[in-house]
Amino acid sequence: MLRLVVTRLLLGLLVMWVVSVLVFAATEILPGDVAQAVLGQGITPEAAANIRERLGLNDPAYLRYFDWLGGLLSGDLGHSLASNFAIADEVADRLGNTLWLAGLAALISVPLAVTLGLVAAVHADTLLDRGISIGTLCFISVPEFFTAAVLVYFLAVKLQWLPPLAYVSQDPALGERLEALALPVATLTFAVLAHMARMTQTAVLNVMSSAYIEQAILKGASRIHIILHHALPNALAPIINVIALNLAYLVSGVIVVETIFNYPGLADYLVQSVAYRDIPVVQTVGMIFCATYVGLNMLADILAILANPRLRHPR
Amino acid sequence: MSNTKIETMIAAVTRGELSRRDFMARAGQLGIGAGMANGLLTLGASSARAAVKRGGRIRVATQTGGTADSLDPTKFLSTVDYLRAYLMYTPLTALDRKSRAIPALAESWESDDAVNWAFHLRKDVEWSDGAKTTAKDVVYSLQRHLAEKSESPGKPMLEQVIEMKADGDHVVRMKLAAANADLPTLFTTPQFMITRDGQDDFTAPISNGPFTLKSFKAGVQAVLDRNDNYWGTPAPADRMEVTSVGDTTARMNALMAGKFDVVTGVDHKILDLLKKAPGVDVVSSPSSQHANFAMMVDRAPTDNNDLRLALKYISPREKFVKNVFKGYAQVGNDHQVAPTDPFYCDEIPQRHYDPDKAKFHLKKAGMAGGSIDLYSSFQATSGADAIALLYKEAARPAGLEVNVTMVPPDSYWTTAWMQKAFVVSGWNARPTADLMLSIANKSDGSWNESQWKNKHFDDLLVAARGEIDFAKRKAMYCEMQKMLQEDGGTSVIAFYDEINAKRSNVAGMEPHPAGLARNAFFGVEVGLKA
Repeated sequence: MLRLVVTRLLLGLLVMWVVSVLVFAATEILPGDVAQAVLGQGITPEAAANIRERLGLNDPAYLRYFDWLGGLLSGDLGHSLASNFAIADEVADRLGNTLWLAGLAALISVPLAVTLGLVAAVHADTLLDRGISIGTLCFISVPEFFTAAVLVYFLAVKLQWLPPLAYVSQDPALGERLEALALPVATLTFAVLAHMARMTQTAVLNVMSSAYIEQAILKGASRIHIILHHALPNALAPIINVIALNLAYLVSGVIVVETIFNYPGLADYLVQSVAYRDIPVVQTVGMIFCATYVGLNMLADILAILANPRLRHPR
Repeated sequence: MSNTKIETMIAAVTRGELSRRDFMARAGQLGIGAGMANGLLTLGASSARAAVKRGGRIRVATQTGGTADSLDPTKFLSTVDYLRAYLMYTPLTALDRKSRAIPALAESWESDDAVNWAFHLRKDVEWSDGAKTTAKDVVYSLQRHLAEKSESPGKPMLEQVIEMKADGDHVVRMKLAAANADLPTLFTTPQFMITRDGQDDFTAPISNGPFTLKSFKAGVQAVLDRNDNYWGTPAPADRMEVTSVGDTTARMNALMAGKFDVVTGVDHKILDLLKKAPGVDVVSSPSSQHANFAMMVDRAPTDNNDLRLALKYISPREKFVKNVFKGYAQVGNDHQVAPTDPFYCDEIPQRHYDPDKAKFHLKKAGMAGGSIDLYSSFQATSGADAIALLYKEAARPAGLEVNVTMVPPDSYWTTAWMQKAFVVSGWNARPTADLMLSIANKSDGSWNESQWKNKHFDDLLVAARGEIDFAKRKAMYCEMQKMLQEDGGTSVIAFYDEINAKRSNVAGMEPHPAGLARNAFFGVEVGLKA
């Protein structure tokens, strides 16, 4: 087990390094640089030249990459090219925001999705099962900006029950934060429900054709008991994987929700920085997202092993 | 010289700092009779202020704002920076509602030859660190733009000031490379805000404006509290919050839900909806900002003037005004001087959509039944996407095939603008005709998007800039506008209004031709209804 964890960690680091090179190369290839992006239509050759000089942009690409890598490894995340603020401070701020949003969305969507999936499995082939299937499919097919627009229109503009923007002051009270995040969390929940619910249902139903399930049925156990005590524990592996994937998405992929609700999170920071060609920021946030995916995947694999007694105690 | 003295006096009356009686007395000293003096006053009278109450908080949402936002005037690049600047700092001069320079930090100025200037500063302006604002502050902050390592986009505009020095505490003397009667107007440019002598690091800016900065997060929000030590008319609101909300739908929703009191950047597409929404008012203001086509005259196919004329005749101007700007615009006549400008030449016949004339010119250019590439982008100007498509349709009756390419916004200014022969472009409002024409059409200008180079035009520009007689000056600008219309590479589509919106309980938000972000009076006029 320990060997597995160490191997996965090393592989994860390798993946992160490869990603950092790819992200750097991709941003470099984009036309324009930060001087042009920041000055925009107001660009003069002199101002642009001075900006490039100050930021060291005249150095060759590989030199700048290794500079950044060296900084990262020694704990110095550097400064944003566009704003000159320390990246570490800005990222810490926005990471906090992102974790709040992702955390709340996960807290609500994961139990809800698994429950819906189990309900669908228990009542397989009934109207309830079909209803859950179609309903969750509809939610995932509708783009997030549409779901958000509908929610905002009814709940924020017409009824004015909830705020249309997810802005909070510094150090908000828990109630204020929950109120501000209610609509974004709702939007995200609708978006991720289907995948997890349907996977839960499919994984459980897959296992239902096993011999031990047949045994349990013959013994007279109720359907709910069979599903919760015999099927679910054996179907956990794919379910955990899907949950991990969706959690990683909640951290890194929610740019649409962050834009609509004007929420200063990491995804918004990344998109803004790409537009500004602010390479150190793009690299840093890219690394964070990569680490999230790698970490969550690793956690999912470990949990899948732990959930299976045959893998927990290899002969 | 007496012209400018009268102007500063009129402005002083407008701002309520000089009584009518004093004005008449001083006008008499300058040899102006009573009847004429009275007439002069009404020229400068601004619209009556609606009754606003003191107190309360005004929350503004702007469409611009990002991590590059700055409190350092040499780095001001977007409208949210300008809006914040007028709340925090005091400029040397300000623009009144007739686009003329009026006193702000400088209470008067004079020049005999438009080359040597003396600005007399107010003596009662205090910084937030207790010191009085002096000539040293003016010289230091303006010199920052001219420094060798300066990254300021304002540097080219200030380079004409070859000498600048403080003469005592309250006089700044400047010498220009060439005569420029518009120098006072130049200092209304937000980049030229006056900051504290010695301040280069703006993490804790020292300010002297109607508000003091309480907190600032770049690209997110700035909170400002009223400065009770302000030298001028005190602001009605206790606090201003300026928030950046880039997504237009989110910004409008928040206004309708009552989360903001004032929003900028109202999109033409949702104007009708906003006008119907309860509790919300639309405030529009004619402006010199405009949308245009840029044709580069130094490369094929637009190096042929017949083709350029054809492209200009194909432009369905009235349709653009009606469909893209929903009537909130004034038709352009293929030169960049707006109808709101005193030097606008209305003698030039207005060009209209004319596919037959276009066909004629296309034939002369050898492009009958040909095709041309047009580049556009969402970021190019307001309604740029619709403009490109409408133009394509309008070109068909003339037999010209237009291939439209939409370029991604973040690379438009580097890959399409000033690179491709025929593009959609746009310009923010500029305070003077001279600035606008120089920036876009001067032979060696770095933003000469059409690369049209004409020595006679350049000479006229310089001559008009130094000409103090209004009629003579206007005649020169008329000639320049005609030259552009007939030969230039710019087809100006329309001068579109700036449209903002506010809640119905907000008052004191009067239109201003410079736009809300450059309206020096915004902070001291806007407030909640009494």
